[in-house]
Amino acid sequence: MQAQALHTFPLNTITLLGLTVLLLPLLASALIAACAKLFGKKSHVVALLASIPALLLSMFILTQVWNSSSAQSDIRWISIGTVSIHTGILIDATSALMLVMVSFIATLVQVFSVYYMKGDEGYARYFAYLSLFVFAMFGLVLADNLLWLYICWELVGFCSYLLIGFWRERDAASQASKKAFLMNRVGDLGFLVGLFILYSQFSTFDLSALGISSQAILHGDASFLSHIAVSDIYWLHAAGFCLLIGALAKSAQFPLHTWLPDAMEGPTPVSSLIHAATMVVAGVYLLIRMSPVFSPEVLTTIAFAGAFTAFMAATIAAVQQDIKKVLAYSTISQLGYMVMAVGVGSTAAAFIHLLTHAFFKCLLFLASGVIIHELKHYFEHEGMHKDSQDMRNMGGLRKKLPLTFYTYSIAAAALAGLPFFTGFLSKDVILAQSLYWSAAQGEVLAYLVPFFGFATVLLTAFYITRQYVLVFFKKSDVDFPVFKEPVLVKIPLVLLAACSLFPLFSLHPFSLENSVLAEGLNLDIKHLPLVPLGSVILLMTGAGWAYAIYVKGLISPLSSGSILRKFLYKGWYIDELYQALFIRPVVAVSGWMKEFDTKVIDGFVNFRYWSGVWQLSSAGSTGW
Amino acid sequence: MGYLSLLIFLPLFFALVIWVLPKRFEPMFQALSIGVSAAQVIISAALYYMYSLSPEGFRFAEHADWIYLQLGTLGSLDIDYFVAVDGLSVGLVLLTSIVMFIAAIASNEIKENKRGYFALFNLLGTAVMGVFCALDFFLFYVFYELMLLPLYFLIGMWGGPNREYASVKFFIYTLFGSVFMLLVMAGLYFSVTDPGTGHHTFNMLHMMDEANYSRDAIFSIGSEQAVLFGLPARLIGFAVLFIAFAIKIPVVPLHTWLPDAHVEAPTPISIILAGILLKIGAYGIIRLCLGIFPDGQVYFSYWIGVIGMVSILYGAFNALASSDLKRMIAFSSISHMGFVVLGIASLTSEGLNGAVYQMISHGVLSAMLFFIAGVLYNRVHDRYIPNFRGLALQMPRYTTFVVIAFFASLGLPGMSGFIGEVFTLMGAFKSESVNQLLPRWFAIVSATGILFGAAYFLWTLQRMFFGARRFFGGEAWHRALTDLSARELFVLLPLGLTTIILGVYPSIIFDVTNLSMNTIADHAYRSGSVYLNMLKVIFGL
Repeated sequence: MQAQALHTFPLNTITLLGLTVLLLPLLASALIAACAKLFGKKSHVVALLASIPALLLSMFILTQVWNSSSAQSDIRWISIGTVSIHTGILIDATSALMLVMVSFIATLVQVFSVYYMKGDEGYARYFAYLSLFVFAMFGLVLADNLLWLYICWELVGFCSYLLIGFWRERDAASQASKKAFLMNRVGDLGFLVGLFILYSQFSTFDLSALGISSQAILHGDASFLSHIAVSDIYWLHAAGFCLLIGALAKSAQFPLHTWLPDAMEGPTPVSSLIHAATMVVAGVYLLIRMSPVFSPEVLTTIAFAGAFTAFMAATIAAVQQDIKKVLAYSTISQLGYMVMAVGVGSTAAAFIHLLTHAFFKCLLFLASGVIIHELKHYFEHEGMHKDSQDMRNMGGLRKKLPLTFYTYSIAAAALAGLPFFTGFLSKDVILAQSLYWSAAQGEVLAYLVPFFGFATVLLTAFYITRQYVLVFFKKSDVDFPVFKEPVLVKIPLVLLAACSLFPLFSLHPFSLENSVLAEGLNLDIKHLPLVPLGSVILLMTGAGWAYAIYVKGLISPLSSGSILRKFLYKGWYIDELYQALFIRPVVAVSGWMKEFDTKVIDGFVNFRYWSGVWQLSSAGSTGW
Repeated sequence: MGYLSLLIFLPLFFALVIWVLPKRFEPMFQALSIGVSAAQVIISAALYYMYSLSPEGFRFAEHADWIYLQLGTLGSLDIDYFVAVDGLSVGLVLLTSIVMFIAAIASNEIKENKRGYFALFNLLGTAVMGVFCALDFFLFYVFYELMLLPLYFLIGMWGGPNREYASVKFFIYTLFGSVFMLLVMAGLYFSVTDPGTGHHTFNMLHMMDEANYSRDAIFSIGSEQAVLFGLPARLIGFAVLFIAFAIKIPVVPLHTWLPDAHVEAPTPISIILAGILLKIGAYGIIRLCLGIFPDGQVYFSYWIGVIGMVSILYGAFNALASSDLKRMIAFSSISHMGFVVLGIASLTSEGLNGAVYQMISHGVLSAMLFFIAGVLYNRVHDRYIPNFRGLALQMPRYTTFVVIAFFASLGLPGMSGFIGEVFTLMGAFKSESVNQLLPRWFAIVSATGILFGAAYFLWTLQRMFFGARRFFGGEAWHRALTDLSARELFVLLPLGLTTIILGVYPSIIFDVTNLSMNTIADHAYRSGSVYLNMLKVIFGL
């Protein structure tokens, strides 16, 4: 516990500011929704009038709580039986950093949306949804208890549902939104059961109280309030696994990841804000927050889930043709790194990668948004029926969209993990950490985790180079004119590009050691010089491989028509598997139940009924 | 005359007024009924507020002798007029008046024989209000049976094409339960004496106190004579009462009257059925089964939990397979009431408070859902889900409320359905560590109900409201499907706000119910275990 005297502001002022940040976007959303006709094409002004002050306040909050203790205030929310459930706001270094990241990216995305959504019928509706999402996301970050974290968790999912299905007349969009919500519900179910276990054993939802009590049980210093038949540890394992299921769905990790690629049906700025930078990292955020609750067995599962997902998603990203699908699988893969980092015991590394990834992935999406938007208009204008998201219809855009090209290059370098870019810093900490972890496990199998981690480095470099070449360098069939990026596009792109360079995170370009961030988050850095070297070699190999295929035209096992390619292109056939394993059986069972209801149960009832009527009438006819 | 009597008999008075008024006043009948229910809303809201100031025990009691008959050798028949409300009923009283108000506004789809309709409508209003307030078993029974008559006619005369079948089915089902309830009531009367007068009594509160049971009567506690067909009479008494109320809830497999009644009933009657009638079943179980036969509750809790779990899943699967919008909503009601049953079975504070909360929440939401179905049916006289597509583009404001109602029903946090489901499930989960009545896996299996709940609501949304516009009725439907009218907005907006307010600040309900429900849960579990142990000793169960 650090001294509270460090605060220049009293604690309740900090939480009050946090509350203001939380309510600003809600207010904006309600205003826009209520007066949609009035604001109309100016709806973005209302949204920005909420998000810019929220950003400034968050930055101020960050300066106040950095390197000092946390601030928490709460109120009684529900009393049931003898238990009072409180809810409130918890602000510490982690939540304050998240707050700044979310409000910064949300603001930029709103600015960008003015360009992207211009002239759309649902312009006001769009900004109302977006502000509602920002509110829910702030709530998730600020909640001091697991129940409210869950509540906001579902609310961000609801906003995601609304925004994926934003273009309501599109069938694919409404199906994708349904799929996203239902798949997340599976995770929510796990989360909910985890909540039940923790509540029935600790009678509280308070995050820090849960963490302290769980640690005590893990160290054998305490026991549950009540224990039936099996040991405390058993139920703590169970709670950990349940929370993990929730995190896997929200952060689109195997086996609950298939909703995210479909979610790309939403407008591209939405993909960039919700499905790359903020909502999908909520699962990782939960794992970070709840890490004291996890037993070593659960942590091992987390590490494997993350590492495998990182690898699998990267293999799928390598063959996709849709520019957004590549980025979607790339997001899944990068989230896998973060989950893996939590599993190997470095929540700080996971969190730093969460931050670096948020910036460069948001940038990649926004840049691809520019490309999609401009090509769509061009194709429509020229009367060409071409898919503006298919990379086969792109090429040579380096000269046509210069600023997009330059910023995209920076983000791609950060994603691949080139030195001097942020991705390099955060990814290498995770990789080094995973090596130490597997060495400590003392089992050969444990080396699978770093193996997947390093293999993903190679694949990442491969798919991003491929995309880079296909979009910007390959010769195109169409002779595009030079497009003009408006200033509304330039501001977010340039700012995000600046955030993808090393100085934001560490003044030392090759190491996070001694950086402000690492100290603030208590990141324990272990030196392993071979890791950066190895990862750069792998990176070069991957990039070179992609260069050889897509520029030099070499034949590869991934060339069109190969079985491997088909398998990867179809996402390892996981969607088809779920269709056969879950969806069709549920529909069939519901059909049987309906038959059972009308034929058997109601059949019995009607039989009694009609036979009664028949007896009465026959009694009447025989002269009774 | 006390507040509660006013609340109960106000609609009866106006039922008579409507009945005797000359025909030229017919256009005013609806306005009159709306006025009556609005007055009820105001009175019951005031009662709710007053009760919340010191939420403990029964309040606003009115007690008067009603019927006293000498029955020769059998003794005497002593029936009181005794009404009062506690934390369990005061919320349901408020809910009842709100739902009646909504139903009265929705009644403008009734075009024929308005006199008969509104007279019966108000008669029904008296009956349902009386059921929640009555603390004399006989009085309760009178109100309970009184509901049956108006409902039978309201469905049978103003319903859809297959209305006669539906109303007869509803009638027979309910009668089947209440006939046996009558026997239990009589048995209880002769088992219990009023400590004040020394006479037998129908007073429910006396029936809940073991000190008032005579030693050798049929429902005596811990008596060897309390045997029926070789089984402990108290357990049979519990089971009979439970079945009577379970038909009302309804639980699977006693539910098949509900989808038919809903599909055939006119919109306002569907609203009353789902909003109030189903709650009477759950209310009866908590008040009478738990209160009077706690030993039966403890004995049967496991199986009641099974019934709740089966209802949740069975209702959800059937809703998934329904292609009639009203039938889908009817099955979703069965599923949602299953959570109430599960919460009751857990006998924990969380479970019982959650059950009452879920009853109120479902009352509001089902009123909203059936009103929504009515909006569509009034325009094109069709509810078949595949006949509609892309309604969001056609009726955007309507779609907004559909989304709110659907998401509130599927348990989105921030709205009321979530709180009800979470606390009933939490109670069921906690039961194993508190009283060992339900195993934990009941709660986990039941929780999958919220997944399937999301599935059928979202699937319906996707099929009817999203995608390109395409209607079965073609151009005529395009013209007929206009967005919400001001009247419809006036109904939906407050309902939508209510579900959000209750979801964000559930203490509005919990602070009122908590003490009463804790007492009920505590009494049911403690006395129930003690009585049950006596039964076990005597009968070697």
